[in-house]
Amino acid sequence: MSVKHGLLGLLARKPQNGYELKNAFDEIAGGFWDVNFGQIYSTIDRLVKDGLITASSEDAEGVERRVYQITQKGIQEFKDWLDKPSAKVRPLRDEIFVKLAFMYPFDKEAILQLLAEQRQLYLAKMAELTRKKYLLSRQGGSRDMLMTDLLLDAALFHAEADVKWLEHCEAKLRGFESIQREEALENDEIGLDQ
Amino acid sequence: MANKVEVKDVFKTYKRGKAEFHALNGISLSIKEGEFLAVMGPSGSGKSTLLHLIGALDKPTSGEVFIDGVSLSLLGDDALSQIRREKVGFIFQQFNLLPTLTARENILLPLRIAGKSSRETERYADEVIEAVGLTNWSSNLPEEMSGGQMQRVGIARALAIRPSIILADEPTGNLDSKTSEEILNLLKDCQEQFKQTIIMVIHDAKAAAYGDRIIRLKDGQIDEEVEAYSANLI
Amino acid sequence: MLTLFKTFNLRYLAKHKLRITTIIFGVTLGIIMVVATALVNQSILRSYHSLVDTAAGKTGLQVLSNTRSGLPASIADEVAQIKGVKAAVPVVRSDVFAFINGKQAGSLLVYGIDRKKDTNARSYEFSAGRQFRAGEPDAIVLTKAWANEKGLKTGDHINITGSRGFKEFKIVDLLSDTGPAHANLGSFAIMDINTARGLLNKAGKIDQVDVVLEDGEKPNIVQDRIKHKLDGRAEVEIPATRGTEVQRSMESMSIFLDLAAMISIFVGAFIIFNNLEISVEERRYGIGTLRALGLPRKKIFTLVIFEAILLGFIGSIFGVAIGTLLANLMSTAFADAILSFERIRITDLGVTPQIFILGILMGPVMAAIASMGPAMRMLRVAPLEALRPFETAWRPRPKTWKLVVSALILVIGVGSLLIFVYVLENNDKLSQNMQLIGNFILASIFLTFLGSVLLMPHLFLYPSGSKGRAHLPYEWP
Repeated sequence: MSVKHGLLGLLARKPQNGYELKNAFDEIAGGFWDVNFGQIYSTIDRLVKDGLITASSEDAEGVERRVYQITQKGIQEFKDWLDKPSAKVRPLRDEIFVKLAFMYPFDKEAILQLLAEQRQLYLAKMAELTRKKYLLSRQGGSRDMLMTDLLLDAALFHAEADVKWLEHCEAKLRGFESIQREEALENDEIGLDQ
Repeated sequence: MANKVEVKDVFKTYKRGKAEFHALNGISLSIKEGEFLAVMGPSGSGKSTLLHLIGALDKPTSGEVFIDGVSLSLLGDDALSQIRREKVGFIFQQFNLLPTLTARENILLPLRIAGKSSRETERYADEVIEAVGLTNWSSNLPEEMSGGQMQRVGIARALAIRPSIILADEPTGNLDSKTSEEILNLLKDCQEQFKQTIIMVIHDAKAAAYGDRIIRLKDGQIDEEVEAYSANLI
Repeated sequence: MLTLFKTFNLRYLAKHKLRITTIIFGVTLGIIMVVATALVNQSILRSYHSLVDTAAGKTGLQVLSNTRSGLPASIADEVAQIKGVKAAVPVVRSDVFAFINGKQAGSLLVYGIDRKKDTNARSYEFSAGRQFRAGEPDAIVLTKAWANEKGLKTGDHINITGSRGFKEFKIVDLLSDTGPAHANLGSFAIMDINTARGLLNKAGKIDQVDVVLEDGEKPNIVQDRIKHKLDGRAEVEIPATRGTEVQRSMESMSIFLDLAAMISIFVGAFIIFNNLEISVEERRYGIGTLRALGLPRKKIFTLVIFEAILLGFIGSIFGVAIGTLLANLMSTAFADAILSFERIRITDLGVTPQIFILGILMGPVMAAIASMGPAMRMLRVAPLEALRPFETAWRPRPKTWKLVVSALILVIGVGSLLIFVYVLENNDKLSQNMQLIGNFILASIFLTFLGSVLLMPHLFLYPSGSKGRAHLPYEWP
């Protein structure tokens, strides 16, 4: 899971508090990769426990804030991770797949409806991401923006693949339906012959 | 905002011998000024036909198409030609470049047809040529160019006259994903900067996502409609 | 519009040089023969006129000597008294040899004239206006053409062989290239009648009397009166009888030339029709694209016609130039073969404004007519046609009745030509009638021409098996 490495990377740039880390992470991930504060803080705790970062307190306008700093060990870990290619294929975790698996034998129309709605939802989301990408492209190119752009691309390519897969599912379901119907017709004809 | 384009209960039937093919089956659609509409759908669903009717390239079997509130069915050849050359920029799926003209001449052709060739309009055309990345190819003939380059010539030609409506039939069909993105950003720029209305027929969801609204045709009718910014996805 | 023509039409033309050359060649071919024929015909006509003018002028009758010794000079006055005679002009004439600087310079036909009386018969045009005085002993006037040929000018001297040996003459003036100057192929000179008598030893004699008739008098009636009066002392001829023979041989040659012109127009038109059809049809896709980009129908029509007119014009220019050249060659050949014995010089092959305009206009008109069909067809090109792949492009459906009618016309044309040739070979009486032959041949050739022109689109545009296609949508699977 690379929330861990994301945080390490951000801290390698400069020491930051938890709130800043969340914002910086969102900025890079372009809003597509949703992480909540809970995930951020639990990851931070684990990093402190593993000795990859250290925490120090500081006063800002009378409110105590914990600021985190990366350690030598942390830098080493981040570099090792950065140099290695990612070996894992993106896991298929779509709920929709589970729903499909359970719904199919029971209600074809309902599953087609579900697939269509899901596809529309993806399209709408893609449009939103595209809008973000377009606005980003008009701001000119810094390194961070390029990174965000690439991340948005990844999301869009994945979403596109999902849309294609959903379309494919629909086509196959419909095709299967008609095969069944033809089979039924053929059986009728055989019945007549006899 | 006023409706730039309005399609009212349009049917389009092609005959082939005794067989009839209903390309459009009573479709109705309104497109606002400055809107970017993406039209998706399987092949044979009537998306190109719809685009041809809006672009005054063909006439519906029944029903009406309005552009700026004017019904095309009331217009004669001169008025329709005027709409084609002044209001509409058409990006053809097969580019439709004239083989004997260079890229730049092809791009300037609509200006010449409209008799609007001036230093000013040509400067804008040259900006478009630069924006589609053809500056170094402007004096090449179509036969000397790749499919992607020809497609970009076709796009530049449609934009050069800065029409109020841009009709694009698979404008990124021959482009790699990076160039596609540049072209789509360019179309988006046209919408944002000049309030041009864009209707784009596209089969690829990633490109369709540039639309403010995405419709999906099936059997000559609107099957689905997605508004881009009303969605909530976790 | 002009820039559009430059980019759309001219670029295409530049790319299809062979086709364009062929079209221009077709036009040129037709124009060459038309211009050449018109020029030669014109030249023949003029020569004929000049023959009549020169040999006879306004002479309606000629009184000629029936002996070698000539006629007494008084006979002219005698003839002048006869009823119906307006003037009787005495002439001393002879063929003489000319010498320039002691060298033989060819023969000259010399007329000794009484200047006062002669103006009734002939009108001379003197280029310097000096002429010669009555009785001036050594003055001679040559034709400008002959003088130029020999390198002579006014004031130069020339030796003439007379019956008493050489005599030196001074060239006092030159005849401009009109009327009498054409006599004897231009080898013609005039001098005072008495000077001629002295030179030729014909004192008190003349060789002929040119009789100018009163208006409305019939030559043969006056001829009888003169014959009666002279009672065998001289021959009386109608000069035009010689002219009529010449005219007849010229007419048959004209028909031959007209035929040649017809055939070359036919072949030229064949080439033009055929190639224009293809060249326009080839651009159906481009025209569809222009329509899709908003070019109105009318302008498409204009572009097609204008292009044809331009090609026709270029062809015309070549045609007029080459036609003029050909006319020169032909007239030389004809003059050698047929006309020289008639002492006619085919001159004035210069292009007259009429022939020039005919030649220059004919190409564009021919091409415009040929392009009318394809241009009309292009009017019907729908913008959508550009969006279809070429193979499925719509083509006009050939109309069977049109095919039948054009084939029928062609068959009638060819048939009547063949029948005509057969009849001509087996019927001597008919072959005498030049006029009828000419008209009949022209009519059959015209039918053949019309038939093949109408048939052309059917032969070249509709490949066998294609019955025309339905209106196919682009999206049709």
